[in-house]
Amino acid sequence: MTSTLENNAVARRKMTLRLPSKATRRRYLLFVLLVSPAFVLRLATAVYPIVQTILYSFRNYSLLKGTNEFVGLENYANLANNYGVRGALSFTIIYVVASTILGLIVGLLIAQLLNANFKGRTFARTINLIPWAIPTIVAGYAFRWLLDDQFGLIPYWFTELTGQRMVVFIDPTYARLTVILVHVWKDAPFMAVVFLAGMQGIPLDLYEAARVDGANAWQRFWHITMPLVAPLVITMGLFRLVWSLASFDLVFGLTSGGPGVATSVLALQIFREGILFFKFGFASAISGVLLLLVAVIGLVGLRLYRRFDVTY
Amino acid sequence: MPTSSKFKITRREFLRRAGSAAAGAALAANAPGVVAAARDAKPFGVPHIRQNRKVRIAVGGWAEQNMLDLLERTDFSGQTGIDVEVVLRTDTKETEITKIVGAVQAGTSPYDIIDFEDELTTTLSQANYMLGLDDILPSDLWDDFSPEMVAYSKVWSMHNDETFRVIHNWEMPIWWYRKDWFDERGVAVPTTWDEVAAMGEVFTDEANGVWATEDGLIKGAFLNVYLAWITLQAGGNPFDVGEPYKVALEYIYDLMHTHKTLNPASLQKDYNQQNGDYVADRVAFMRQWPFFGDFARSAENEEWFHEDKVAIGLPPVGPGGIGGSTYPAAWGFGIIKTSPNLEEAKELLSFLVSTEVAVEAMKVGFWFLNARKSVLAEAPQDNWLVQQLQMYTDAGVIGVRPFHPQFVEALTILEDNASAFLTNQMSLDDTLNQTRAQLDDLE
Repeated sequence: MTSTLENNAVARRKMTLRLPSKATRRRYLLFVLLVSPAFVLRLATAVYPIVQTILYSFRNYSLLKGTNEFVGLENYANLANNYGVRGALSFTIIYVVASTILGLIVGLLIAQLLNANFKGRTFARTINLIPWAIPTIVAGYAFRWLLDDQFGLIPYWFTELTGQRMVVFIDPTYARLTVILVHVWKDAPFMAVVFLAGMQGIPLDLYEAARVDGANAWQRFWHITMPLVAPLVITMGLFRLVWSLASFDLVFGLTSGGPGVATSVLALQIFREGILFFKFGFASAISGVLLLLVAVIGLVGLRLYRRFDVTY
Repeated sequence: MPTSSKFKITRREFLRRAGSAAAGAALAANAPGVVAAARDAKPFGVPHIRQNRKVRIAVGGWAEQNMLDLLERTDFSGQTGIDVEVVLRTDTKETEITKIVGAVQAGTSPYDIIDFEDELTTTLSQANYMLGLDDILPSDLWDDFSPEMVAYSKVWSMHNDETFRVIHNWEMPIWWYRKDWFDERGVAVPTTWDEVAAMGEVFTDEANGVWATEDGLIKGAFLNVYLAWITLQAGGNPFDVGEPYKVALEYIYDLMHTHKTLNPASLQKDYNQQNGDYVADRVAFMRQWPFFGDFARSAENEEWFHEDKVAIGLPPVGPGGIGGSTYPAAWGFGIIKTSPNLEEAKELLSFLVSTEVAVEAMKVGFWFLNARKSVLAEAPQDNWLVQQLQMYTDAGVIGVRPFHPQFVEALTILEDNASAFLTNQMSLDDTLNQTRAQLDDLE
């Protein structure tokens, strides 16, 4: 009898352990209710399209040809043979890496400048953001005119200064350099504003102490400013890398990917294959490569980010 | 004594009842039987009155007023009882095709009739998105077309022997030249490839940015126009990637780099930039579409304009002979297969393409100018565009625009490779081999 009672007591305890209290259940319910809209939204707008794109990449899905059969890895194999994709992949890597590094450096320099005390600082901070506020496609077309060999302002000044004619877009190297520089011109101001916010959060006593210890301007920048804005630099660098990978409008407006495919990018190729030719299968395979690049860069960036822990 | 009665209801009960009512209404509205019954019902015994018939036609912004004027002038609605709504389509084929594909996949269409260009016609008719028109066209329609227009329509407006478009705008690149400059230097307008090449020495002044000729050759269908034009003059179709295409590429390269006749910076220019250079006195002669004539005569160029600055000559003759010195491109009307107002669309289209209305259309605006016999006969002979069309037709210089069944994709391949060759990124042999291989993969 005693043993039966003990067994019942154990069973009750177990049941008590298994079934959470009413209050706990309410909290769980509330948690699910609060999280589910965001979860469903991400499921519908991110997970579903990504999974669908990956599935399409294994099919010869062409809206205009009316084909939609499973072809395994054929689309991926064809990527290597496609002149446009090969060129786009190589320039995408150059473009993304170069414009991000240059953008970070220029952004830091501008931030440092805007952080200094001088007359008209507020005005300078305001106009700094103008390039960033211009729509990218407009900037692309504007620079095509600015760099026109006959009427472009930039070639005009170049000729005035050097006596040489400047025709940038018929040389693949100059064309690539131009696209990268225009991208930096467009986006560095935004980075500068973010870095400036970070710099303004650095306690001034650190600089005072360093100055008392005899640190010069470069040492103060390198040993105080840089480490303390490093998490921002990494974060912005990561964002820039991912944003640049998906960049399409600047190249479309400025060079249309030419000359040849010298300035073509993966996003432009996806646009062509998907929207112009309606070859969703092949376009999805290019998107797969882009997704892989974004994932790799994202993982590397996150790893780097965790290595920096700022304490004042 | 009246009494007030209060009807009390709890919030929970209210929500329950409201929810049930909403669900019931939604179910009832979607039930097929109910919908059908509602549609067929003749409420209150009023005799069934036929709904207003309507049709939507999509045209480019530049043609909107012309179309409205034409419909008013011909009183189509008065004659048929069909209301016509003129809507605007986008300027670019890329955006338009995206819109149409999405709509057709959903079994509908944003409009019934579209005024569309060659590239869109090829793509949409091959995708089976367009309605075959042969049954509704007037039987004597093709008799009114010039032989060149018939030949053109067979290639660019038909697929599997079925007509999908009837063209109303038919124009070709024109050979514009600065008569004042040629007179000043005492040289004749070039009429052959060799003469064109020799003009570099006469006109090009690279240091001051003046070139014998220039074009808009940026990628995105601009370069393809020139490749097709020169290859046709060489006697072939660039999409065949045969000997004529090889000759054409070599010739263009030499014009740019050897003879300094064609500005190499053309590769970064679109037509607006090309036109801008011409009216800025930087170009002696050029190939350009007729819209340049309107641009040159526009108010913004009033001070610059003089007839001698925009003289028109016959295009140069290449190794292929005079018959392919230039080619036309066209716009025309077609009906989307999933059009919501198919019968009305058929009526409007057959009305618009009839001989009488084609002539009226030309009188409304030159957007409707073409080489139909009736149209040319009635066209004002003192107009520069009419004179040009007549001159080119009489001289027999008009060939058929080079065609590829997957035109949009094929031209991208041509442009990618040709642009690489012309900027010294690839050898000629590699360019030809790679182009051929890529085009073969399209089959």
